[in-house]
Amino acid sequence: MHETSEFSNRAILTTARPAREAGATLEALRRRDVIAWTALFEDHRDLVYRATLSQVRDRELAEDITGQVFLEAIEGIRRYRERGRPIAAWLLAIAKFRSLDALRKRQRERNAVLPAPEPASSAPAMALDALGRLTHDQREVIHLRFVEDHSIETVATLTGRTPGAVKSLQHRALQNLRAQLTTANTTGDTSHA
Amino acid sequence: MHNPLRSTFDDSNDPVEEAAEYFGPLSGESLPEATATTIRSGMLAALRNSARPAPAARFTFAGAAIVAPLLAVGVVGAAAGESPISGTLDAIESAASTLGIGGDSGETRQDLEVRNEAAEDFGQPGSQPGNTANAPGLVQGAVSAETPEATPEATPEAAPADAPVAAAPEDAPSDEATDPHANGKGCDDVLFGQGEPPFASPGGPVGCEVGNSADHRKNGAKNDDGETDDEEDTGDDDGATGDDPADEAEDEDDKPGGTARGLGNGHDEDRPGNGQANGHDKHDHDPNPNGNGPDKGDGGDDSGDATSEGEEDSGGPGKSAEKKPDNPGGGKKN
Repeated sequence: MHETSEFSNRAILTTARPAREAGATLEALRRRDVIAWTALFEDHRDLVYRATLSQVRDRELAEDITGQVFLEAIEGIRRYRERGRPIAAWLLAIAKFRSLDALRKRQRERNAVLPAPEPASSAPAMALDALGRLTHDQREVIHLRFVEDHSIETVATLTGRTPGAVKSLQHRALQNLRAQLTTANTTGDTSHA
Repeated sequence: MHNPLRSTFDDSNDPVEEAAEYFGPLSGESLPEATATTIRSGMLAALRNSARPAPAARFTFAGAAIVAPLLAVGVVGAAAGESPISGTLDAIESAASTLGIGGDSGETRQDLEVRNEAAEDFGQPGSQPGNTANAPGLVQGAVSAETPEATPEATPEAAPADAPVAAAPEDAPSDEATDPHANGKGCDDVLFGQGEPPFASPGGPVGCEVGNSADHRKNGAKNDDGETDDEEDTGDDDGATGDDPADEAEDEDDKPGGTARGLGNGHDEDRPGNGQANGHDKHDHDPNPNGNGPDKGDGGDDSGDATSEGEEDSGGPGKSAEKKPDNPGGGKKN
């Protein structure tokens, strides 16, 4: 079992904050309090970055998208309505949509010029390659479940799904990965799109 | 321990644990500090820029700055004995003239006065105050004493609105030129003679306060009772009109088949096309109690016969629809 990062522990604590404290934080964010926004950024920057990296599988692009997510959060905090979910779920949703936009844009560029895929040479690169074989929703669940090491219930809360839906997505994602990786290992082709 | 570089799963292990080992190295990925610093500065800049006052507040302040001086000018004008509105308008005019974007509202007021004068001079005979269909823009209060001169036909009947219809011919002079209803044919004949179109307005000829076309056509209807009409004319005119060729001509016109007969089919038959105006059923009154028309309501001995006959036989106007085929002219049936 992999070690849980320090940020993951902080994220879990943030998710489990009492409602009153979360409400006070939200009010401070709506007042555009610099300290509140700085704390929010420090608590969630790696979470957003890894979620974005799991989707786009490009570090530079993930860094850009992470910055866009927090700027968009500043602009949209007045429209944010608390529905019993942690604010991390809102940030992850923004990150997911921005990542999908970036993937579409990159797909159009790849249609014009097809670059040669580079073979994965490290464990993180292979993991990112494996994530590239999944759908967007499966990537989201796999990232929160196995990278951030959240429970099924926490993943369900962060993604706005039911625990059963999270389990189903996780099961199908692992089956898909097993089938594809087995096929790739059999053919000896280790390069992925 | 699962080797991520194998790029495959071991079926003998738990897939969840294998996936955790496979994707675990990604948990070490973190946002570079340089990038974090850049994002932080960008966030601070965004927070500072968004700290400006809201546009709504600025517009509110600007609106108050414009309205407050105008209100102050109006209050001062009111204190000086002028109308607050006029003071405000003067201030607006002066301000607009200063800016070069406004006209003189006095021109607008003059145009309004000219329009009112034009409405008063509306030359249509019988134009009634408040009849906007005949004189658009002409209001009741704008009509001056010149109106009777412009509508000589309507002035004799310029009685109170609730005056009985049948009493109008008796109260009015017997001169046909001044009282269209006293000529035995109704005012529409007089108006037609002056070139007015028939049914110029709903309810009767333009300019007659009787207001109901049935009354106009019934008041002069002799129907088929020529003697009654003659006697009535004689009584009204002291027998002088009996030798008048004009009266003879009128008598000819009043015979059945004329205008009066064709339009006197009974008031209860307020159907379109019979010349009746709608309304007698609604007014809850019988304009022709004697069965001969409004101008014979109180007149003479003949009215008694007409009334009794009309009521008993239900042959009079407005009494029975079954009798109409036998008595198309209404009134007396001979």
